[in-house]
Amino acid sequence: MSERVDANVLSERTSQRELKPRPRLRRYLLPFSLVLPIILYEGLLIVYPIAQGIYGSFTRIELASKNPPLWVGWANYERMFSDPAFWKVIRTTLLFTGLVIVVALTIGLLTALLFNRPFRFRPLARGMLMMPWAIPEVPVVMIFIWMLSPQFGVVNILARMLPGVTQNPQWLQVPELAMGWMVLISSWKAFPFYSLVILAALQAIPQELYEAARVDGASRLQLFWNVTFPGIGSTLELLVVLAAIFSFKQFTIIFLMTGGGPSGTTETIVIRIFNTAFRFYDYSYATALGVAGFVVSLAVAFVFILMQARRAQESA
Amino acid sequence: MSDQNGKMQTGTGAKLNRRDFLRSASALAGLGLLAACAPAAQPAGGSSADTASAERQEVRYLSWWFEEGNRGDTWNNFVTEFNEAQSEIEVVAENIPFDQYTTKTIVGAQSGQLDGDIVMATPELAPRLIQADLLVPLDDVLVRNGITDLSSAHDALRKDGNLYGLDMVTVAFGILYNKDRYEEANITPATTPDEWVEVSAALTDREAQKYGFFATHLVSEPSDFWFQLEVWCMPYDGIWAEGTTPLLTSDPIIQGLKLFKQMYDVAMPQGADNPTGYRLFQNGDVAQGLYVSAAVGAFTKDAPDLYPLLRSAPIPWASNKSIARIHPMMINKASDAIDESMEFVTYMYNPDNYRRMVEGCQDVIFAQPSAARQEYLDNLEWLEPGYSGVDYVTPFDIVGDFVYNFNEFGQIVITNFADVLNAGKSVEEAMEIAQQQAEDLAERVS
Repeated sequence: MSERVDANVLSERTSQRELKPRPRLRRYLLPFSLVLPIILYEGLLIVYPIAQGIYGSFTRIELASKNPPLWVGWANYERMFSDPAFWKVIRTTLLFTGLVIVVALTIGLLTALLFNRPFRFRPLARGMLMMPWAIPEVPVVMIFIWMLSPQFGVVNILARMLPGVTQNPQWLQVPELAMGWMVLISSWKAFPFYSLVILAALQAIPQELYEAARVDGASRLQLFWNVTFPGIGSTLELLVVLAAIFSFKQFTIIFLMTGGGPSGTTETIVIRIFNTAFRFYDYSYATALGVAGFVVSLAVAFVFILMQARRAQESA
Repeated sequence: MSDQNGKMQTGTGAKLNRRDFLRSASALAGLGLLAACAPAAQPAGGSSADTASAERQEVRYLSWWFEEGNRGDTWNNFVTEFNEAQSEIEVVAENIPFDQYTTKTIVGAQSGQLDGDIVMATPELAPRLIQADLLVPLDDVLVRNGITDLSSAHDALRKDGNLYGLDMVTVAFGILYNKDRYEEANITPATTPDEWVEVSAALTDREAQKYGFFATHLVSEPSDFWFQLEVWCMPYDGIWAEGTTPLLTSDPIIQGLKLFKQMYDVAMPQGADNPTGYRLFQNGDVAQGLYVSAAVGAFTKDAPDLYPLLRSAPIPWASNKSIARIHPMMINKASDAIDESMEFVTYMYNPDNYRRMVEGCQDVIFAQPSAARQEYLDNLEWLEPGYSGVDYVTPFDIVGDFVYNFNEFGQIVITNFADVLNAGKSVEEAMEIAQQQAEDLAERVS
């Protein structure tokens, strides 16, 4: 009885809908109005500035002059490709990015393996592990500038213990040392995040796999290579991409500590873009460099998307 | 069944369906937006002072010096004094750090309009703003104050017969030293560049962290580095550029930069940033530096123990030339408060107020020479001989047409010169590259 009545009600409602079809505009108004804020946000704050930047790279702009922007076509790009400094910056960026990926992920992996083992005060130690990542970059820079001061830095005491070191080293003035410190500080700042993600992946590996391998007589190294490593492989892949993106856009630490010096040794592309725009006021050329940086970022993001798609395909 | 139906209907009536929820949410969001856009509510029964303040025309005065020792105190006091002296204008001081000031102003001007109503300018920034036609003529200020003896440095601030800036502080480079350090080492001030290097070396003991000299030399402090390096064209009477021709490979420039390198090698705390160098000087660990006169006043507050020990050395090169930098106050043409801004500038340039301001800041060069009080100058022990009787030139005299692109030009010089300090390049080699880059700059901006 009840089912029959419900069916009648439904049928009545359906017929009412058929009699009064919802106007097309009303049907689409709600979904469009819901996505409008995000479209406006993306359009005004992301797409428009990028488009403006790309347009600016085809013009010549003189800051605070009465001259209007002048269309120069591909001139900025021709200059960029024939500029040895640009290629030096690209090499520096790749070197810095590569080194940070290796150092930060290696330390992240080792600490994750360590913190995956049970020991006393482990929760406290895990909390402390996150500190470098949690501290904002500017205070970190101030602390390291002080530690590396050739006059007062505490690091000099350690350096003086080494044989042959009789004077305080110029930590940020010697090109090789400066790059080394940039990599170390950036890695120190980033590794806790990688460590935490790897730790989560390690804890997701079923213990049965380890037990089965041990029964088969696997050594510790074999356990790592044949159980642990495949278990966290997809996470490591993702972290390599993330580390590439994070270190590629690293600005604060390098800018505040060396400004890209000495002799451009630590000048990555983002520092170069800033220096070109706001130190040399060569705004148009800076936008061309910005477009180059944007293309590289897109390429990295594209690799990430491909990897995601491949993984989705595999799991399907 | 009917009970069930009844329950269903009641339930439907009481529940908020999706559409109603979205409608309500949209209405609330709309109200929120309106509330956010509405002007802030005035508290009922506010004090008369609040009301008076609300009626005043606000004038935003932008500068980098409101937090600078004596200078900051003096200017903040003048702003307060002016605000209390009348009831129609409220001058608001806004501080922007020096290292960011020029860039922020130039980029702001490019992106729409010059920020602020009254803006201070450096010698590098002023010609740019004048050339870009962003300012209001200030000749009326001179007429209203009856000023007829304005310094000739103002000639660079004129365009089409109008004056666009009034100098509020002229800072001159001179050698400032700690007399105790000189006496301990039994040293007398140098009279030639070579002697200057010897004196500086004699004052240095790196093991004991004692240094003979400090100047900013890090590319991570670009503005300060160029600010200090620009004067190193003086020892051999050179200029950085003539017209649109850079002279970076000319002999006086090469010799001047070699002199800097010598000082860096034998007497400077290498790798020290500007705050560290300043602190070392305050502690007596650095014996001397090429300081602008405006910085000396700051030591009365920052290092009261050091201040009585400060003396200036004579310029140790034959030309007896040094650089004096003028810093004009200007009014933004796009301001909504031009008349009110003009009132404040007129107030500050009243000869009596101007003299009090210069003395408060412990400056020593008067843009209105008749406002100078000899008694005040005689009390400054560090004034003679390093900051008096020197032949001053302005940045406009030493960089030719690059005066409109002074910062870019300077960045080219310091970036390449840093390779001499850190990467083992010769001065000649580095300046060869800098010369080419400066020529490219000239071509780009011409």
